[in-house]
Amino acid sequence: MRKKERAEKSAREKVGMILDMPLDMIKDCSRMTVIGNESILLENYKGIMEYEENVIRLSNNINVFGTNLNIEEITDDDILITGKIKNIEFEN
Amino acid sequence: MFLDKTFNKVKGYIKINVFGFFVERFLNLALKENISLWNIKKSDDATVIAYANIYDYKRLVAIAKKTGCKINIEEKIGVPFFILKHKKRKTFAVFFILIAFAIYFYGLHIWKIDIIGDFDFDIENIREELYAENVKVGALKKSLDIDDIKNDIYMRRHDIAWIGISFEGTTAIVEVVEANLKNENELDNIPCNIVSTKSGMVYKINTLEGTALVESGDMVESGDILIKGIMSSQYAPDRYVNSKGTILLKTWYTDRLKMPFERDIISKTGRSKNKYVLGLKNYKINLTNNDTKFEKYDTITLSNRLTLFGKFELPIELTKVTYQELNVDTIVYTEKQAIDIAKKEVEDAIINKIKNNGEIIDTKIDTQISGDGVTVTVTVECIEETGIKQKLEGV
Repeated sequence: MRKKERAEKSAREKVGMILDMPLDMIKDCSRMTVIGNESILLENYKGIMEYEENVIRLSNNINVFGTNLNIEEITDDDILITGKIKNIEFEN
Repeated sequence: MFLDKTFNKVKGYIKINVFGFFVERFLNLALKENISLWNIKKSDDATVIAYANIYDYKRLVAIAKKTGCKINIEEKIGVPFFILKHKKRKTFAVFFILIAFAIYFYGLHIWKIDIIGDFDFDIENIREELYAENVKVGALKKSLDIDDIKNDIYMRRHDIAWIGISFEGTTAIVEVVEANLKNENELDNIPCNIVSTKSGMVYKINTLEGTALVESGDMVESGDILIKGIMSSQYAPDRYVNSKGTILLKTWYTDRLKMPFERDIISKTGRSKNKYVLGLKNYKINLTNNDTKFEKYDTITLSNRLTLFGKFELPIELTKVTYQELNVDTIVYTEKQAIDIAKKEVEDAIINKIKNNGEIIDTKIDTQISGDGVTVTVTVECIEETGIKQKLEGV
């Protein structure tokens, strides 16, 4: 089962590479748009683990640290975080 | 973004306050259920402030119950809440709608007709023509067929070359171009006389074509035929011609002025007072109540129609009345000064009358001194050109 999945994934990657598709479409990961230290737009974020004033932990192992963090807009796929961002961390 | 916000305001939204230990779960669940939340802010204690649409509130309460959170509405924003709040103020609403309709209704009509253009005939004439075509104050703009109106006016008035009607708000702008009916070429080719336009003595006559009826030294009146467009000959039948020639007339202008030795010179002192009057049709309201206390004054009245947005005219008139104080000085002239002043004034008046048409060859001044003033009579002799073509009758 796992083997099959891996094969499928690599096939998808290969097709994507041939067609020159963006990585976030090929891989199942999120795309991040950072504007200064003021806002981050995360696409494909999956869910919120923890929300405090100075930290937002997201389900796909991305942590955003800062002060006065607001979730300006949120939908099922995208999240727009504003505030004073200090640190973006990936937990692997 | 701006459009979104405005649209949200129309739909109405609420500011909610969620308190609990699992606010993240609350948010995730809400998003799973496709409830849109925005401007989410976490305050230091375990509360989250967020904005949501009103129609999602019931579902939000259910989710809060599921996740063990407390939910409160902090603020209600938008049109639905405004209506709810002002539901009892029915008169206000009725009049609000009424006024909105009134403004719309007034905007459909013509409230002012501006006639522009360079033409010789009376402006009232055009106003009447327009009135006959229903272009009048109070007419519905939509009911006017401009092409039809133009055609009708063209049919009736041959002295109008072009007419343009356009609307700018509630103002109808009518542009008129006059047709050039004085077709001078026409008179150049048909038999015609030359008649005098002035009275005087013929000084010189130079006939190029036609028969001269006058000669130097003859007295003529305005309208007299100077050159006749018929050439008679012993050997041939009468020939009708287009008269040509130049006629110089000696004319006299006399003017008289009685100049008193004492004269009042009126000058402004510079002091003035303003009064404002608000006029509503026939009613007048004095905004400032200060009648002038000046002994002698000029009154200057300036009326202004109030307009809305620069286009829509209101039936309200703001009148500004300015009183300017005048000072009267009496100046006593000597005999010589009085004569000089009177002479200059009379001469100026005569020159103004002649303008540039003639050449002054002689000026005669007669002064007559009486008890309180001097009478100055000025006679100016000048040479002027005259003659205008007139169609020969009966040809």
